[in-house]
Amino acid sequence: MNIALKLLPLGIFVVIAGFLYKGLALDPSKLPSPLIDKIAPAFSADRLPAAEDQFDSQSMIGQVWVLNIWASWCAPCVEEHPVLNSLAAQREVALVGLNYKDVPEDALNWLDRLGDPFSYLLDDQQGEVGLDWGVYGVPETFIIDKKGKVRFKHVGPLAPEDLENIVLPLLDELAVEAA
Amino acid sequence: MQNLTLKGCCHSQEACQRHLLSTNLIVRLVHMNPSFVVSFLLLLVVAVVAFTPLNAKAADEVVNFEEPAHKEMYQALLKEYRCLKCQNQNLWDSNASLAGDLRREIKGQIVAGKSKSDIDDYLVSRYGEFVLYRPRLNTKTAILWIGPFVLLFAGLATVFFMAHRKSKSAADDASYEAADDACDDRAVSEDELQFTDKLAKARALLKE
Repeated sequence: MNIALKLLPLGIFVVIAGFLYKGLALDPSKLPSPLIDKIAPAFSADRLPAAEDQFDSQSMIGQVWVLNIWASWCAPCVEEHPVLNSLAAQREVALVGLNYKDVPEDALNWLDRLGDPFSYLLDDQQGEVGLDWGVYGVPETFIIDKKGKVRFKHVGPLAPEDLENIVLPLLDELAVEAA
Repeated sequence: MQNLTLKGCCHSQEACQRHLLSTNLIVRLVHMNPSFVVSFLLLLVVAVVAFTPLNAKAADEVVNFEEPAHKEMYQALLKEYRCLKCQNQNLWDSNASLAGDLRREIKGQIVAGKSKSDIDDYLVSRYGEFVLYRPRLNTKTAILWIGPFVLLFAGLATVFFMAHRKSKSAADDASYEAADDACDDRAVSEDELQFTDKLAKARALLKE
């Protein structure tokens, strides 16, 4: 009993040190999303090019879809774009691109240059849709399931490893879930 | 040439800055003569600080309210919310474009009559508790709020407990010492008797 008491301060120190050590590895710029496992915010937006119809997020219920927030002025989006092209080539999933606080003409030129993997390209020049989704920078990527719940958020550019190890397996898993 | 004016925030400032500065004259100037540029910049900073009015509005915006109560609420609230991009600044100070969007949204909500807890809910449901400088007390933040007091209590309890043990063992030591002293006294007197005996015998032998 005596030995246990003497070791107690050391034990407390080890526990606290363990938490602090873990904390060193956490990145505060990658905030966890409070939207995970909640119903995705409903929104409607204009499609680009402007001649096409409006997009309504409610119409996506019943299918798994990916929302990618990007902009032509964003350098990491250039890094990420080949990964999105690869995703569109490998899976049938609907890839919705939200063009955030950008000039539509710049966005379309950018896609002409780098490839257009998007099933729907949406216009969010004021950033209002982004506000509802808790977007605080670009790029960000969300995966939404058939019931309309947000299941995954990735902050920052998607790396090829993220695609292989996280996104593709999750999309496959969600594809077999009931609607 | 593509318009590179930053409209929002990149999730990789280094990449953004590399991209922008690669054609930037200032970078070339710094490479040529760093100390000149540094002293020029210092002078510029001093000049700007000297002439900045002390009651500058939030991030240099002038925001008008019809009701003074709304204006006070706006100023008070902005200082309680974290700018998620420039995370060591609040929404009052931050120049990030997201901060500007949130300021506009908050102004709209205040004018529409929402309360502080409504606006807190709005922000937390989108950005998480981290957006509040004073997180609300719920199961997730309980450790954050109560933890320091628990540790303080544990520390005080330890100190109290050890002090109590020390005084208790001091009492034990005192009684042991008293017993030792008693033993020593007895032992000394026995030895002394034997010694004085031997001494007496030795003297007797020498005298003969």
